[in-house]
Amino acid sequence: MNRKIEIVRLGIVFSAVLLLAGCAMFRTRVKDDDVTQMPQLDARYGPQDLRRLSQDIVAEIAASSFLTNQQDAPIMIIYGIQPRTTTFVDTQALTDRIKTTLTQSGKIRFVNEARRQELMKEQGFQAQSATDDTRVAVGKQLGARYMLTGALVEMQKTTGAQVRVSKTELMYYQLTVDITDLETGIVAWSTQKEFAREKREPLIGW
Amino acid sequence: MVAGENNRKRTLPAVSAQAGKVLSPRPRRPLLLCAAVLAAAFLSAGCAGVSADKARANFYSGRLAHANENLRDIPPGDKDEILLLSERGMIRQSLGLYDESSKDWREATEINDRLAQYSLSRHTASFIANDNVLTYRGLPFERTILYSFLAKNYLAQSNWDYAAICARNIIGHLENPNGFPDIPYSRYLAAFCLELINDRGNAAIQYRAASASAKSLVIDPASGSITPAATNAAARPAASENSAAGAGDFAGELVCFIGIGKMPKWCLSEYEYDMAPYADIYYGDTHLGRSYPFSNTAELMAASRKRLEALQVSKDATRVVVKEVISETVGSQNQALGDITRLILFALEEPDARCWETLPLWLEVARVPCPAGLANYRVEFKTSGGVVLKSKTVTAPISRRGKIYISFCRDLEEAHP
Repeated sequence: MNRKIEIVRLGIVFSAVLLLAGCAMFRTRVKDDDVTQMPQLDARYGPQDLRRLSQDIVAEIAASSFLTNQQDAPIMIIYGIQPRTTTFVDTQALTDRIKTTLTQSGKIRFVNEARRQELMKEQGFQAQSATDDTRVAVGKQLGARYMLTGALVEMQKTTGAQVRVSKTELMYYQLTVDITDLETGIVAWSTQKEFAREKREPLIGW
Repeated sequence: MVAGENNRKRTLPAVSAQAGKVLSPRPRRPLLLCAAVLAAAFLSAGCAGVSADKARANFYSGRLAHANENLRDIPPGDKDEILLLSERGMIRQSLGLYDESSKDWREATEINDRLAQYSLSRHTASFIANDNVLTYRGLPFERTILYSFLAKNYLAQSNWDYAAICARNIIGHLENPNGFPDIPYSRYLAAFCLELINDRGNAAIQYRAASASAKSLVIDPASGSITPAATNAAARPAASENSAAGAGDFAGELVCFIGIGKMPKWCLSEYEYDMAPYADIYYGDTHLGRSYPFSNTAELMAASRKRLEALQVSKDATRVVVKEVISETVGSQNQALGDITRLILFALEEPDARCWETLPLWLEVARVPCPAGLANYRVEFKTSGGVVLKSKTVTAPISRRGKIYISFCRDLEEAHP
């Protein structure tokens, strides 16, 4: 009996200490993170993938024969990377990084996005409602020689319904980037990057 | 019963073999159980009910801004957070606040993804109180339809890529139905979103699936055109003096997603869920065509609940047993407290009737020819017999992709302050 009372007392003291000290998990905490060391919190496309993919694509374009054979820095228009995913991936961020890095390198010049929108508006097109033919025509009018397009494909697999305590999710991503010659319509350069990631999470939580 | 009570009384004064003295009954256990019961009652009461009901009433009265205001502050982590976000998303879509609406709906889907499949604390509490203490996640059809409405936001903003992302989520949900009903409306919407990004192969698959699922309609997998399969009066196109001659010459095509009616709780008359109403679409005086019913949310709700019936019955039975055991345990220590506990526990017995109430009852699609440069059109909402119920002129949203014009509307009361 005394032992039980002791246990109860200990429990009360422990709870009181916990409450007074303030458990760290209940406190707000803010700290700066190193963008190169950000942890991957789930299996889906994240900031680290954005950084890595853009760096890889820029490095490949810079080293490609397509670019080394050019006498002047070619003018390019970006028509975006299509997110063929189930998550709302911001592929605009990816093309923005590619554009910024290549512009800074001086190897490629890009048509200003605002100018492109303006011209489309003048011609009675919304950027999004334009068809492929319109986009090529607008690109040419803006003096671009090449067009950068691409697609980010996502495939997802999860463990099926069965008696289990955790769920495994496998994500596969494939990024394709194409540079098309607007004069000839021929793909001048193309590359693909892929990666897969697995996440396992409990089905039972508090 | 009397024998049982005698037995209980005999066992109450426990005798310590060592000390040889009578110990008093331990009052702490019943008090603890009572505290647990009160906590469960508190949990089940929640805090979202009033503002949500106000918002819904304002929404259906056309006071959309008030409805939006009613749900301005949704407490993060609330057990009904997903439901409230769904309701607010719908209100904001009706207000034309597409970005804000999308933010709400995407947050709702993200919360749902983050939640553990089985929460120990909530499920345990649900066995003491009722299923209202569980975090609301919506029935599978609601989760799929959420993506359908989210897609419409992106269509209104000409964001075809994000609309296609919604389409993939819809297909993902419907590929593994697990006994839940198919949703032809969502299938059609998904197919259309894929058609807009030139993914015609996958679009055709979904058009075919929608056609198979919506038994009264035939959908052409290549063009997405809709024709009635049956020849009954309800499905036959409405007779119009202008439709055949005028509309056929138009080069454009209007695809309009139409919502008619309210969830049954808000229905005033039976027509709304008896026979499928429809919408006739006009450009000026020219009849462009009509809408066809694809899905009925009340039917989807009933079919989904039927699918979960066996599970729910066994859970309800278990809960009754748990409540009886708790009341008995408390009553064995203190009869009056036991009776109070039983009263509270069984007063808490209440079915979980939470649902996304701002959804339209009928989900319909019209795919009709229209003139190039379409800036507005008129919709007449009619009963299945052709009686005009309401008429409204739509100027927004109308977006365009090539020759296809995309729009959506609903037979809501005209917005007023």
